[in-house]
This record gives sequence, structure tokens and C-alpha cells, in this order.
Amino acid sequence: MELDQWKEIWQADTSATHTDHQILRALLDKKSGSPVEKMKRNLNAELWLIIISYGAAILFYFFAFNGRMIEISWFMLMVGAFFIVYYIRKRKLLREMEDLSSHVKSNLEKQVHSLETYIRIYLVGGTALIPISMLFFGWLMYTKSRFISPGNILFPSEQNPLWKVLAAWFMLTALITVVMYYINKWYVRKLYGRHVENLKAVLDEMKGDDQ
Amino acid sequence: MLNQNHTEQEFLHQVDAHKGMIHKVCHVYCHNPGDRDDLFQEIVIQLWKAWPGFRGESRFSTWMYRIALNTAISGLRRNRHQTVYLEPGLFSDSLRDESDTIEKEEKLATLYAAIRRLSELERAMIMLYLEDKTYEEMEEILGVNQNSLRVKMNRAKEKLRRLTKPS
Repeated sequence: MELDQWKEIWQADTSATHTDHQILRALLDKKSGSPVEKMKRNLNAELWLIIISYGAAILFYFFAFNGRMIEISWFMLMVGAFFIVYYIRKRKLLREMEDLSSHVKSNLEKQVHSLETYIRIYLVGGTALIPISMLFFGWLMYTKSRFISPGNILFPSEQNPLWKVLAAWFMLTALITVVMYYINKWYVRKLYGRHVENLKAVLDEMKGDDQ
Repeated sequence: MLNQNHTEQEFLHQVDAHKGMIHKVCHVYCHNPGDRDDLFQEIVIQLWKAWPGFRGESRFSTWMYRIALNTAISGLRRNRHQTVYLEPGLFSDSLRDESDTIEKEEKLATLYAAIRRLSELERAMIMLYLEDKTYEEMEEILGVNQNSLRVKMNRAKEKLRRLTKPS
């Protein structure tokens, strides 16, 4: 059968002529199942988790131990403020990805670019938190030294000169940061990696033969 | 409120007039009826979300094709594990249409099966070809320049010929 005959069959197919307005109207109230909508829901859940857990911890350290651990509250407030910037940036990317009215090629370019930026923000944000937290807790342990046992390698004492302590902190921080980087990378690839690869493959196909 | 109802009515009227096209996109990009229903629903939702931005600069059908194809290619189909079924019979299906002859149904099923074996881009191009769209309209929808489209189209047609040839 020739392609023109297939075209006739295709065009003669007047499917879906009986879907009434009520059914279409009902669809407008349904929740979108798009990946972007799911990412928005996840991001909002992340925001609430941070607000609740950080809020509780900040209040706790503010008032507990007669205010001797108030530094933890300030530190968590600072991390919380960074999270707000991270949240706004990710939210903006998702809003850009929601617009599907451009032609297919530019939409794919936008989706790939936004998703890669989204992944980078996730990876940088998740990994940077480790050395920052380690630095803070190192400083906290140093200033609140009476809570630490004197023989601890992470605490300067007569047996542990400062260079040894700093080297131990550095090695521990580097180790945890590297491990967390790979865990984050694996997780973010598991979430979005295949999707990005698929989009890139279609985009590459579109760009092939371009003159 | 009156204005919003009017807009909604206008939107529903337009979608109603073009729903055959949406169903065809769903058939081309999804094999499973549950996935097709999900994709149909998602396309209508995305069209409704984008509707306030439609200013008539392009034809409604062009705008609709863009959103439908963007939704199909970059969206819902990826979640193949998702099996949310809508109420049976809500959407008439070309292959279930009683008025169609069995032979026509079989030929259509063969055509859809062959198209689904093409790449994502080729499916979109072949669909637009079967809909008798000009290369200019295809460029407007896909964003691929016409010279490139012609080369790709020849390849896609050749593949389709091979796939629909009786063995």
C-alpha cells in the first residue's frame, strides 16, 4: 500500500467525535501528572520539611542549655536562608519549564538546559552543605571544648597538636564531602538522568542534518 | 466570572473541535490505553494552563500541536509505571468505534503500530505529513528548518513504507 493510501485511511479516521463538554470540563480540574508538576510538588514538600525541622531545631537550641548552644540556631538560620535562595532559583527554573507553547525544538532545548541547571543546583547545594556544616561544628567543638573528651583526635590537647587536629578535620570533611557528592549524584541521576538523556537524544536527532 | 466562563467555553469549544488530533497524538505516542488516557488528560490540562497566553498569533491548530507534541515528547509518557485509568468509555477510541469496519480498524492499527516503531521526531513528522501539513507549518510546530525537514521526512517515509509492507 502506498503512503497516499495510508494518508487517506488516517484522514478518514474521525475518532473521538463523541467526547462531550462535561468530560472535557472535568479534565480541567484534574491534577497534572507531568514531571515538572511532580518536581514542583517535591520541592514544596522539601520546603515544608525544612521549615518544620529547622524551625523546631532553631527554637530548641535557642532556648535549651540556657542559651549556651545558641550558635547552632544562628547557623541553622543561615542555612535556612540559603535554602530559601535555592528554593526560589529552583522554582524559577520549574516555572520556565512549564511553558510548553514554544516549538518542539526550542522547548526541548529549554527543558534540557533547565533540567541540567536544576541538577547542578541540587548537586552543588547538597554537597556544599557538608564542608560548611563540618567547619561550623569544628568551630563549635573548639569553642565548647569542655564537652569533648581530651583524648579525641578532633579536639586540640597536649597529646593532639593543632596541626594534627586540623589535618584530621580536613580529611574527615573531604571524605564525607566526596561520599555525599557521589550519593547525591547517583540519586539525582536516578531521579532525572534518564529523562534528560531521552530529551537530549530527541534534540540531537532534531539538530542532525541542520543546514 | 462571566468572562472566565466565556473563556472556558471558548476553550472547550476549540478543544472539542480539535480533539481528534489530540487522540491521534496519544495513539502515536502511547501503545497502552491507560497511558493514552493519561496523555489525553495531560494534554488538555497543559492546553488549559497555556490558554491565557494564546493570542492568536499562530493558528489554533499549530499552537495545539506544539503543546500536544511537547507534552507527549517531554512529559507524561516517561512514567510508564503509572497506570491511572480514567473511567472506561469516557473517551471514544478510533479502534473501538463501532461504525468503523473491521478492515479499516485493522489497517489503522497496522499504521499506528508502524508509526510507533519510528523515532520520537519521525512520529511527529509522519503525523504532520498524514495530516497534510505543509513544510512551513511543520517548521512552525517543530522548529526544524524546512531543508532539514525534507531530508528527515524522506528517511521517515522510507522507514514507514518498509514497516507497513506486508511480510
